[in-house]
Amino acid sequence: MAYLLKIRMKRSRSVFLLDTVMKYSLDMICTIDADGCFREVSEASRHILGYDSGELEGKQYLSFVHPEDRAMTAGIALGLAGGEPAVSFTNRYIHKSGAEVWLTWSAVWSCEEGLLFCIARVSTEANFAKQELHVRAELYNALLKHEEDMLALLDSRLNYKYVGGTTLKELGYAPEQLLGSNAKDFIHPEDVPKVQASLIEVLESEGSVSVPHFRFRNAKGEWRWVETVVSNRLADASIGALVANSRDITEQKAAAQKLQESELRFRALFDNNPDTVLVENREGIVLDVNRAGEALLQLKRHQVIGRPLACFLPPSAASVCLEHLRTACCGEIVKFVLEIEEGPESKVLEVTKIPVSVDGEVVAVHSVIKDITAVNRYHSTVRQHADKLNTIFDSITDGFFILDRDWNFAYINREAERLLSLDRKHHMGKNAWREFPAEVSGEFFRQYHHAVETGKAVHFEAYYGGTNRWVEVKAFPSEEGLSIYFDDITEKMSSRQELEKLSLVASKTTNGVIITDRMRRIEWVNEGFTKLTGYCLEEAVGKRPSELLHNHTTDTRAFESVSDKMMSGEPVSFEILNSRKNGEEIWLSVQVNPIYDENGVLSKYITIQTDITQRVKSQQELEKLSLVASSTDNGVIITDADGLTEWVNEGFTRLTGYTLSETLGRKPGDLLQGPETNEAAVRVMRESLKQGIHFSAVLANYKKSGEKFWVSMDITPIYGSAGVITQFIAIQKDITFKMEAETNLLKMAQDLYAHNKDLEQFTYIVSHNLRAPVANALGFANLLTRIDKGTKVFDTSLANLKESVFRLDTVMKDMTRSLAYATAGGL
Amino acid sequence: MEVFIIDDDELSLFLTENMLLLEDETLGIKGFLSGAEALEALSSDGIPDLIFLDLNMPVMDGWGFLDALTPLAPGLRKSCNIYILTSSLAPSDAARITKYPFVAGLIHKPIESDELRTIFSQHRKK
Repeated sequence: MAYLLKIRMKRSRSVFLLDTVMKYSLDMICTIDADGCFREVSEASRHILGYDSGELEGKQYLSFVHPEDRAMTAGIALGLAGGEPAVSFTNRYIHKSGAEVWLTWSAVWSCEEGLLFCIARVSTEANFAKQELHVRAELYNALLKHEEDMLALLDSRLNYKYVGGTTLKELGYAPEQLLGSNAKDFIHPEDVPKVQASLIEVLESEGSVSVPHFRFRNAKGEWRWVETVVSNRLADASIGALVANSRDITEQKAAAQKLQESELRFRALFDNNPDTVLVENREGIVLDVNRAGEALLQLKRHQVIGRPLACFLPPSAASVCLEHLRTACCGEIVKFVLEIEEGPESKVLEVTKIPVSVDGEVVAVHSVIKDITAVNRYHSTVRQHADKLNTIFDSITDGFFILDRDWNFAYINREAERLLSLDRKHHMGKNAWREFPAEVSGEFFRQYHHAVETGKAVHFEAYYGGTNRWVEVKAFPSEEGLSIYFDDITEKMSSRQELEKLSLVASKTTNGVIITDRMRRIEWVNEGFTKLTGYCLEEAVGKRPSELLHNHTTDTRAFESVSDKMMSGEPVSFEILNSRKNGEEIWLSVQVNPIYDENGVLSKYITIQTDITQRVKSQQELEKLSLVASSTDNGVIITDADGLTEWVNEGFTRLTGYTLSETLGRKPGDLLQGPETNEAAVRVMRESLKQGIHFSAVLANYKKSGEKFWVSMDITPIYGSAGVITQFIAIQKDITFKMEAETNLLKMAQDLYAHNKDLEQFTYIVSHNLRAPVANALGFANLLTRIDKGTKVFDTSLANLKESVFRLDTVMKDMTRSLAYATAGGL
Repeated sequence: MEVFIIDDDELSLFLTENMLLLEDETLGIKGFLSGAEALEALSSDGIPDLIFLDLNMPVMDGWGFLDALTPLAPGLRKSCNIYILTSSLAPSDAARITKYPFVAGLIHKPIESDELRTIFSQHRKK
């Protein structure tokens, strides 16, 4: 042994020799380093401890030492390392099978190498002496092959006669815990019947019987699955028992279970995979296909398996597949898109080929085939939509842009570029407020923020100074940001402003304005209408203008004459006498304009009314006056302010013989005055004309024929609006006849006056000459009654009475004579 | 009491004188056939208490006589009442008399007794 050690220490001498010793020595030779690990172990370890030298090298030697002997062994090793000389001792190792192995050791510490050199030999004597063996060596031998299992010897009623083996320890039982007890007490009640069945089988047979797996309770009370082979050795004199070799197969069973589950899971995944899964070998022969594959190929599995995949593909696709199969066979995962044209429809397949390698060699290729026709179509549809959307956004007349949630431009259409002077290339992705700082806090800024904060769309009109435009904006907030549509309403705004001005005019003008629908029903009237007619808007709406304004006194002929023309859509104007709400008459000049909508259909009428009552009245008056002026017998002359004739009427011509053309531009006096015209009267006339007052005059005038006539003139100055005389109107009346009559009357009056004088005389005569004798007669008659008869006074009085009566008679005779004369000869 | 009667008509003169005398026989009556005569008598004999004057007379009629008396009017009114005694009923005469304020009244012929009595009583009041 020392020799061998020497050899080992001086390995340079003969490596071959050492290797031979290490390989073939029946003793286990080993070195252990300072850390307590096997450094080298001879091959004898295999039959001594059940481990190959490789399994031991590098491991802690103490872990293989029987736990009860570890302290002692470690103590000895420590002593050796501390300089004690070589020792020899015995300890227990644990065999790979779990059995104790008594070993006798020789060990020495080599300071030079820092290693412990040891040689171990199985201490058979010790093994036999210290093991409590209840059976003989034959028994042990008979059982040897099953040593790693639990070995049990049972009687025919399954009472334990002997137990041993590693499994027993794993179950946590000491042999004495089982000895004498019945095996069925440890078996799961559910499993007892099948064990019982096996027992019967075993008792009837000579050989071995595998008992179906059953559950066996371990020391902790857990159920362990156990595999048992029982051989009937009851007849064997040396054994005389049922020999049961048992193995704990709980883990295996669980693993099997797992394997099965995994297999099932794989199968399920394979079969139920919505994508086609197809397995080919290197030659492209189909080995398996799942249900989705059946559907894709429209064939049953058995029709596919064993045939080349190329049979089921159009030639072009088949070649592509083969090429990719070759690539996959080189160990690469290949992914490609295959388009298969089948009739009118084409299929788009996404194929992934995954090589399956066994020992570095590709034996099969799994193909996962996804039908992405729909997805593809969807994508292309989406792309088309996007393109279309782009085209639409570009072609819509509205400006359109999108701001993302950080106010960056996400889209800008062409109209937006134009209206807002944006540039897609420049502005896309830029922050709107940084690009347009002038708009920060402006109308757009506020509205957009409002939309984003409230999540509600905003709609507003605003002025954009950047391009000097009015825009109508609609902004719709969404998850992505803000979609903004806008429209250039600059023109609309200006026309609206114009319209507002026009409406102001329409509502404030003194003219009446009526808007009616096609059927002439009033939709709107202005204040001017109310002022003119007395009807307010509320009263007028829905009625026809004629209903309001015509009544039985209204002369509707003017309206009726144009009504058809108006209803046929032509603009008309007419003058009509209407009736106000309070019944007053009002003359209106009416213009009705039809309004056509954009389709050229008559939609409305706009009526403008002007109050012409004053004008019509003056016109009527004027008409009457001209009638008077032209048809009167009186001569009428109109001169300008300088007295030059502007117009004469027919009466003038009849009166004077001068026609209008003969008098035009001349002074009437120059034509008409003559030798007997009173100079003084002419002077008075001139004076009055100068003062501009109305006056009358009587003059002797001369006709064109030279005939003299008397004329009475009424001259009225006409004042213009400026207070200056513009014209004179002279009205002449021929009073020649009147003048002659006056002359006659004067003479008659004179005659009458003379006549009256005579009459007065006559009256006087009557009063004196006639009355005197009557008075005397009365007096004497009275006197006679008062004086005595026979006196001289009586007689004289009587004579005087007679005389008085006589005188009376004479006067009467004279008077009669005078009257007769007067009657006959005139006064 | 002195009374002048001036009348160119003797019949009327006689009638007036006798009517006066019937009322008062003591009257001193002088008759004149013209105004001129009477004027002469006035200037020679003085002014009487009563004068009855006819209007319609030739040469100097009643009006002429009154005109002639006008210068003496203030004196006349105190002592003498002049009455126009006329047969005329012409209203013009009555109007004309008002121009002569010293004339006491107008009497239409023939003169009546009551009128005379009134004249006398008026005169006595003076």
